[in-house]
Amino acid sequence: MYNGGTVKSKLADHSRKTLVEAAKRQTREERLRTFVRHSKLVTGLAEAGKRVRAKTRVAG
Amino acid sequence: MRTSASGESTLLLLDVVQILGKEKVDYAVVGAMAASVYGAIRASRDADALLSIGVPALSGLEQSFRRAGFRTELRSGDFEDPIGAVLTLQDGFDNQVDLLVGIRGFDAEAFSRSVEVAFDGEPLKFVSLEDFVAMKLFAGGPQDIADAKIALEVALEPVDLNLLRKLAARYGAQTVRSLENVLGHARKTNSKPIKLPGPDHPIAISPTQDRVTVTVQGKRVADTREALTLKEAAYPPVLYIPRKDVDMTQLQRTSHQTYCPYKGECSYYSIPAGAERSVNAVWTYETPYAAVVEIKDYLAFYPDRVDTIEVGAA
Repeated sequence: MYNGGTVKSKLADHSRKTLVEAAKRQTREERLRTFVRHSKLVTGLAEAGKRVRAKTRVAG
Repeated sequence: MRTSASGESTLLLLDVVQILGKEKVDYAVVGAMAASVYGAIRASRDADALLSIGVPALSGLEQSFRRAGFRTELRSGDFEDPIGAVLTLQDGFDNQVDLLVGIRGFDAEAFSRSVEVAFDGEPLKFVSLEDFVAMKLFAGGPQDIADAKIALEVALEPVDLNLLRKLAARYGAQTVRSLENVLGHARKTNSKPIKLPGPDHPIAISPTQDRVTVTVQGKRVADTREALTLKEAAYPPVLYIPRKDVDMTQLQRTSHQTYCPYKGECSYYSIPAGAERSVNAVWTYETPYAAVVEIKDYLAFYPDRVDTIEVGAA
């Protein structure tokens, strides 16, 4: 949803403001921990996707 | 190595930092991790850091990491590449740390300006906000520019604009133009007034000689001999206690925020042990304005929201 500024969208702009306000409420340490949690989740999803694709290939 | 699964590149970075320390190589974290620390929070499967050494020294460092059990790959940039070389380090779980050297335009003084952020009880050094913004503008992609804008918008401490402009100039005319565009954007979005203390609104901060303790429901929440006393205009003096001397496990961050034109954005914590009475009992200026920078990493307690704030305790 994040709009880097290349496309104008009120919804995207609102989402961006919300993210910025949330980031302002966090310390740098808290943001780093959020990054770590987020990265772990994304990596987990990517790994799960890989496993599903591998299974599909075997089944196919 | 302390990693035990994929998605743990930050832990891998802690191991890398340990070896860099032994090899006496300075570093500063950049990339998605730095973007997150400066407010543009995202995910990444790897961690990136700049090193203080030159390209020729990198192959010797690669050997040290191999001996420590890392999978390594050393790639050099070609003539036109703004990155001199990258040493990629991996563990057995595909966690990855990229160590970059020889960045064109990069100011070697950046290492002395680095900012420490703790993770897992250990300090990690990040490029300063000014270095981060200048590098992002030099990179120049839409996401990079967006990251720079967010970092400036989220930053509540005064940004050193002279330094930022000097750093941008090192990266060339395009980066300078980009910076002025981004600063124009920041001026539009950050319309909060900033005031300087003066004769009409004086602020004085001085060390408190006595021991200060704070208790809630019989539990000691803070205990320090390094408190500061802040005297502001006609308000009652306020004791600020170093964060390190506050039992943060007894505090709970809240979403409450206020703004002081002299000190900056103020964040709050509740003390669950004190129930309703101790909601937003603690405040802190995490990135105070320059005039009161001494209270960075200090917290203050509302006297009526805790049991005692004892000064001069034995």
